[in-house]
Amino acid sequence: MLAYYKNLFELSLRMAIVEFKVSVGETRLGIFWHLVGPAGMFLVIYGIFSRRLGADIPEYPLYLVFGIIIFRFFQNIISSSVSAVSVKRSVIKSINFPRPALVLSTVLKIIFFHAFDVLVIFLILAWFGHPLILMVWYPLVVGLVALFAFGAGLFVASVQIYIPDVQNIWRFVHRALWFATPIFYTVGDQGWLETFNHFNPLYYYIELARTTIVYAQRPSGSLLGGAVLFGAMMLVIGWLTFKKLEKKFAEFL
Amino acid sequence: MQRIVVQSVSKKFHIGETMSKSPLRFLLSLVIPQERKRLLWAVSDASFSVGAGEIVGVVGPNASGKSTLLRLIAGIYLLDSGEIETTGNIIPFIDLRSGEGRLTLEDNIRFLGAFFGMSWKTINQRLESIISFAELEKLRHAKLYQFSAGMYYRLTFSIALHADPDILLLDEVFEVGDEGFKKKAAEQLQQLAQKGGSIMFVSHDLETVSRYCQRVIWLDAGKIKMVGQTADVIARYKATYET
Repeated sequence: MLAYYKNLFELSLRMAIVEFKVSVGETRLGIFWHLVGPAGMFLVIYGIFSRRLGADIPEYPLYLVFGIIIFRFFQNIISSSVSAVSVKRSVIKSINFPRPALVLSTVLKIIFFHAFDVLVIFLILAWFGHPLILMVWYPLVVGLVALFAFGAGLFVASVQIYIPDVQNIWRFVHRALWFATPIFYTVGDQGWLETFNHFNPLYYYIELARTTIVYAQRPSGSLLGGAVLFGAMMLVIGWLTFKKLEKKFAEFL
Repeated sequence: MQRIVVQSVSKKFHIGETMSKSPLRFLLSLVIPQERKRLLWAVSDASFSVGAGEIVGVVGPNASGKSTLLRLIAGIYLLDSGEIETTGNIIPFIDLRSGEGRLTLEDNIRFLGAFFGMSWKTINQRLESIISFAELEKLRHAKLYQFSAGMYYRLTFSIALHADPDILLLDEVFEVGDEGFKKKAAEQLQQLAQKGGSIMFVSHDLETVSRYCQRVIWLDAGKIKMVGQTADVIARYKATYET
């Protein structure tokens, strides 16, 4: 059993390094393109909303940065995971290896890319004169998001083999989540939106980052507990679903 | 010692077939998938064993279940019934195109080696030997998409051999390489067998099968038609398909 997990991790890491190298090497400006997305999004939203939705939100630029970066981290993992199994058809039909490596390698690859986002966060914090030491909380936040996203990635990657519509469903869901999650606005007392966000895991992760890093406060038990609980629950659901469905991947591909 | 024991193994697939498209059916297909499923027994009630030190050939016409049988032994497909017991490290060599075209030869060795269960340390220790066996020294920094099918075959075969296989499952690999490399590869297989390894290889090249295999399994429409000494099986096989 231990050998299985060791092999799973080694293979995932190897695949993540390979895929990171390939992704970066594919274009002349490499990692630059990865940073353009969130930076462009930040500038556009900040430009439009800083005097409207953001006017009453303290530290709005930092509030916005953490909202965008954490949401995109999650979104990138799931978008890559949806096809993580189906694109490896040839190797799945030829070699018996720990199949969850296909999703874990995707998570690790996005974490490698995320290291560059973290550099940008540091630059922005420094620009606004915010204490950099508060970033000690960030590994906890990103670890919990990665845990949740790994579980969700396992779920969508395995179900997609049997129901190809998952790809289209995810396109709709991530757009809906983008607007339903308080990324560039605050929930306040907005009735159903507030209720919805109690069940929205991304709300917990984004709020955890904002509470600890932007507002330098200790997270409440319910905030931290919600973040851990959603991550653990999704990991269990994703892992069990994937392990059940992986047995027939080679036949369906 | 028996390295592979296959007992009453069967495997079925549900093959999807598109039905004829009348205008009504076309409109319906936009809402409800219009596909008929046909049951196909790819392998049916197969039983045999392969001992340590044996090289066993698998022959049969196309779609007779040869590759499915290898995938069942490798654990890639689930059995529908029966049992397969294996002893030792299984290295399947079923699809030649498993590498990553946009990576260099060296990176692909590290990539594929990991899939074959080799640790980083082992891959790095054996890197030069893998490249030299594949005779691809001059292409170590070339990207894989530029390789011919023969070069691809040499590379993957070399990695598979260096992954310490006890059981090597080869699917139509001798159809690709040049004569010189085929001979070298076959010698390596014989050495592996002498050390107690077991090799099963699927091939349409009856000459190669005759030369290197001690026994042959003849599959036809998923059923084992004959298992026996190479000369006997090949003679019957030829007689059946040449008449």
